[in-house]
Amino acid sequence: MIGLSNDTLGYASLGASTFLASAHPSESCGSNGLPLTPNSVRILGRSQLLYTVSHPHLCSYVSIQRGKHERLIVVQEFYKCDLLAAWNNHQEFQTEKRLIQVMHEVMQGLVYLNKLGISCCCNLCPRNLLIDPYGKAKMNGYGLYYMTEQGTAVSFPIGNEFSAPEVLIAGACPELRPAGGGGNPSSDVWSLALMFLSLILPTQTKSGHKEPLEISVATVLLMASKSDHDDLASAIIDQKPQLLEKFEMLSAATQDLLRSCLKFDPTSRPSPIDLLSHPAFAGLTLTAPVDPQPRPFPRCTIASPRKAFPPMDEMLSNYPLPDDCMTLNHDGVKTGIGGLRERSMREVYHLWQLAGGQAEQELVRHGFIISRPPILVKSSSEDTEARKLPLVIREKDVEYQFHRIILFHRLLRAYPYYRSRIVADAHMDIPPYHRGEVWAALLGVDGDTISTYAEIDKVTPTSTDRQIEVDIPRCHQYDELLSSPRAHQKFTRLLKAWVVSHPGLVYWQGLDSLTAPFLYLNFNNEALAYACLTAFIKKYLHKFFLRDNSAVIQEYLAKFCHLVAFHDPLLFSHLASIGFVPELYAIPWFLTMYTHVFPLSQIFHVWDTLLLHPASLALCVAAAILRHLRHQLLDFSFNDCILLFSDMPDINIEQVVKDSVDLHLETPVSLLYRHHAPPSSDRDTEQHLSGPLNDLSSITLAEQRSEICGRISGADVVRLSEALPGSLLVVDTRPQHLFQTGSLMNAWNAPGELWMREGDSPSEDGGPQLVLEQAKLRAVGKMAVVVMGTKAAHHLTLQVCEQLVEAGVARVCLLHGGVDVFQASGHLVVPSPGAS
Amino acid sequence: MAKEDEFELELGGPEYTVKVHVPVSLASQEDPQELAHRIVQHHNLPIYMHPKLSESLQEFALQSNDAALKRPGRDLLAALTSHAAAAPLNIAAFWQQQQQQQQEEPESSEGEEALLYHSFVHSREGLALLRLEHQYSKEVAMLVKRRHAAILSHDAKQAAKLAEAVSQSCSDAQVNALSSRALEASELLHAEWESSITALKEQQLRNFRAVVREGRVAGAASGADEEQTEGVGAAEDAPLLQESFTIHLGTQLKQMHNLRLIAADPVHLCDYTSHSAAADSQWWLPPQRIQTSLELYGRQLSGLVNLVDDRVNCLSGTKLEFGDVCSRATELHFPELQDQLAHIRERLLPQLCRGRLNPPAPDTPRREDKLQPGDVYITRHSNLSGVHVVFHVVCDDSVNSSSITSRHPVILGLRNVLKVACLCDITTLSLPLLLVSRLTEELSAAWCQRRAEIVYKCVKGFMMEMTSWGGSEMNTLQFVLPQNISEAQFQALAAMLPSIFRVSNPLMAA
Repeated sequence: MIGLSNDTLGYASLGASTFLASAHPSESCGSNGLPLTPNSVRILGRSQLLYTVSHPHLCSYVSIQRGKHERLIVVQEFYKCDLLAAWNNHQEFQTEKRLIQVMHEVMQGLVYLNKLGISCCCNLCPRNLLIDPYGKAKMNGYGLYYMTEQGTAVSFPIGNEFSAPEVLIAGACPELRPAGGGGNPSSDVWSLALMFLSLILPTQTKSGHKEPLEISVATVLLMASKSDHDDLASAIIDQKPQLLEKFEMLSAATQDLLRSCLKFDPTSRPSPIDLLSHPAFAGLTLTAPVDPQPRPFPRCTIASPRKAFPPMDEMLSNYPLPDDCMTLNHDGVKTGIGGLRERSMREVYHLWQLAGGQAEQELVRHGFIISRPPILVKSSSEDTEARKLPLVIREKDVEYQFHRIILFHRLLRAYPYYRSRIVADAHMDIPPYHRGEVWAALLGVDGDTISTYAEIDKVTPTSTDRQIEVDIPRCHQYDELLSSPRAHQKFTRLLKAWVVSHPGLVYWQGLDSLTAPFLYLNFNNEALAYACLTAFIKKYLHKFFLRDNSAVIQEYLAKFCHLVAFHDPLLFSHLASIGFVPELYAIPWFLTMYTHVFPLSQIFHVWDTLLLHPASLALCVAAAILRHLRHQLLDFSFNDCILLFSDMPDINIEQVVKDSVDLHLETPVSLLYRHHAPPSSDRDTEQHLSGPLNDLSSITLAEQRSEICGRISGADVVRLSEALPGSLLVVDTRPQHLFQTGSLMNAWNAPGELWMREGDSPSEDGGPQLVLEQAKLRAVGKMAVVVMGTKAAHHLTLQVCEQLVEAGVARVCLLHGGVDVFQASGHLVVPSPGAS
Repeated sequence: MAKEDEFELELGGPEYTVKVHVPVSLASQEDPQELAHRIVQHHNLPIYMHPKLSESLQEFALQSNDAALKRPGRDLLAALTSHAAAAPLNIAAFWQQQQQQQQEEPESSEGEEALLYHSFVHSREGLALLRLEHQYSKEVAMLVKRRHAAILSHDAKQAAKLAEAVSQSCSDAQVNALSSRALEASELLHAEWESSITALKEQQLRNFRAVVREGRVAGAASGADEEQTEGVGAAEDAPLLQESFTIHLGTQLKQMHNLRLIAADPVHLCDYTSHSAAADSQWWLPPQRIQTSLELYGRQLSGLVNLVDDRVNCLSGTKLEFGDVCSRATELHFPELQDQLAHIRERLLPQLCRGRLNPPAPDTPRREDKLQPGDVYITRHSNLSGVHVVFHVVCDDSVNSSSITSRHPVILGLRNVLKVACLCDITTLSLPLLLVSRLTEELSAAWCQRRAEIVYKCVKGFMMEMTSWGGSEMNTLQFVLPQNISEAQFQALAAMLPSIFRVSNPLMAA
């Protein structure tokens, strides 16, 4: 009947509550010698599961945060009316029929929780049973017992006067507490039935006022300790015979339900799942499926259009609605739902936080509060000014994020059909709220990720388990979520899953760091995190995780050197002269794609861009980092450099990312060619790269490593000179007579011998100094300086390149295959006489 | 719950029957669906059997979990009937108490006063209150000064008399009588002054409490606001030798801290009167006082590490100086230093020693309760400049040795100090870098270098550990060097700091 999505804010308020986790005894250590994880962190890790709860009779969890000094703050869907208030104010809630309906609704919620792995709530009571404006029951606070590890992570007992006897005993007698905590699925059944009993057998006060029957903890325990009766209902009636008449007025099915639910012995008391088909609930249907549904990505289903909210006249009379729903519009009608109230609770809370809201401060201000998010006025047009602001500011701008969130929400629902739109919009920026799924979309994750992941064996021990176990407690542990035991479990499962399903590849240290961002963003969707990780490694770290990855890494580092030499020959020469080679610092950068170097918040920004570009962008990021530290590096000695990079200094990451994109644009594609690059999925480029002009595959690793310049392909030279005439300086190092037979248009003939001549006696055509000076002048403002010679005289061409780089000429590259590649292509022209 | 349950199921039709029989461990909490996949893979079962197997396993897991949780519940109930558990009425009382605790706001009268003061001092009238406080301390300081002068002149007079008696060749007995009379007189004088100072302090305390309760300072001109700007003194006479650094610590996530190296006497640092009494104007207020009072009940406290010997009193050395500084103004919020120390000496120390001798070693002779090097006791103050909490770290002569390691008790004491600071929102801390308060002849420049290096390194380690303690981050850490350090040495130690803490590189624009 209720067509609303369970997480829409609707008429709900948001309620905050807080508690303290118990502290460990000071300086205690775990069995592995590491300090114990604080209980608040353990709770935070477990509590993530609660975000997945989506059921019409369970209040959604909106936020669970950790404050200072072991404090936890929980924000949850809230309604101002609880069961007791409804019972007091509405006659219908005093009838058997209505109460049975409430019981049935709560029972569905309990079955849902049991199936999710939350076996017990332990704190059911009228205060935690809220009634929404349409009279539906909504359980609140049901996750406390679960997230605190059956109450062991807090110093207060969880329970109340409605708790089952075993919960009451376990809470008061810690020495008898079983490992499982004492609570079990049937404990909640007891609480529910006890509430029902106290409401259906009310007592009349002298003033004629009805009050729920009071059944004290002492009464319950005394009756439980005697063995006269099996169940509380009979025992109570035996004690107070005046209740018998009222009890017998209930239908037989209800009487039976109460008797069995109030059995003292939990083993003979039914669990929620046994009760859904109880005759007392005959004629009632399930409000929603009781099986928790994982959230697939891509969604694969077209969401049915959201049904309208039921009309307001179906509401309970005099229901305490939130203030903003009560205001009257021009026609004197209550406005009801509109604006932000149509969005999901978590979205609204996210925006409220962006607007400066802090749950902790609200709690401080009031002691306890029901906070209503500030209502934003929807503006008609997007704030285009905001786009120009720095990313970190845009990510904190409420209004901007509001539009971005809605936009991406819609696009993601239409994924994969709308993948190209997502890519286009992600170029602007990615709203943090949707980052996990946007990344998945950028990585092209598709198919049934959940089943794929479920099929992988993550349990059977393997030889890498030991290493994984050692690495995880060292991976991004400053983050409270990732340092929780639950996160460690998930880490292990993800890493094992990856290792098992990639038989050709092995676990290298660093894979853990690589997993961290995906796990952080998809904490409740391991399958998606796994799918993203797999796709990411396939695209960006192809062959890096081979057992023998030295060739791949060597080549990568060589390419990095070429890139530095190309863009910053001065820095390159300096680093080369002090012997500070990239082997010493850059391997973790590339092997972990910077996840080992930067904190998560910065990784997000690096990867937001990286995921939009081909794998070669990662090289440019490294070059951009060097560019940022250039001034220091130029002054530094070897030791200083080592120190600088052993602990990466804080750098302006947004600028680095921007620069890396620029560097990428300014670098000819073929310069970034790698033998071990992942096979391109794009058919156009595949075709493009074949043929003599394009084929760079004949370069050996030894050549890559020994040459200080990168090689450019003939096709790139042709493409660049056609697209941007005059953007290239082509240096033809062949002797003049060969040059005369044909060279590229506008090529500059500077024969190799000129560069090599010993001494600097200025002769007719100038010595090496003069040629260099000329070269410097000619190279100004060029996109690339292409040095070419005959294939046979390759060493000569190479020497010319080295001289140019040493002299500080930027953007020097070498034509792969020499002038010979153009012989058959018809690009060579005979230079007009006079051109030298 | 390492319990395993046996799961059995028959799959397939009559012509191809598969009997699955596996132990299922409840503790592993493995997803039944994944377990089913593993079974199918490892035993090469046809994939069409997976859904059924998965479903049955799911049901089985739910049921066995249910049963496993209910069993201990039944045992608890049995314990109740067999009286192994507490009596029903006791359990009921426990829960009632819990419920009441949740409802009540535990607020002591001390906490109430703190709140009152905190909101007062942050209000518009706050400045007037601070002036009152400052007026109080000036009065007490004046009295203390006069006592000092009076005692000096008295002593001089007595000495002159005694000298005269000796020169007039009086008998020994006469001289002795004279000197004992002099002693008596001086004791009397001391007692008189002491009682008048105490009386003044008590009166101030009474007045102050009344003012705070009333929320108004009597006689404070409402126009005081206008004079605020000139009324607040500018920062003056900073120590001559000081240098500041900004560092970032942490492997991936960087946390920013400020470090400062200064040469000063730590006791001097927290003394208002040592700051130049720039203006005797009644409106003048030292800026430190404003800062200190505003944060007194806030979440950014300041602390100071003071090195002491193993006796809890303030009778000698730096302890005497410190006691002096404390007695120069009324302690308006906490017990007087003497009372705090007495409490530590009489209540906490015996407990500590009892705990330490647990189990008591029979052969060691019963020693008197004594602190050991590395022990720390804490006193709270509201009348010191820029300091709310003082950590008294017990040292012995071993700190003068040239080779102390990171496991030295005093270094571990520093770790405890930092830990308490972190857990109790003390975000500014001053500590003696060399672990000595004065430089002596024996302590060479090389010694200073070595000592500074080990303390820098250990403190850096503790600060990095701090992120896992879950409290407040240290904002400012001040390393204090002895006042009599040479400038060259100061510069050497200042140069060492950035090399150890790796001072952050400034952000650079493109």
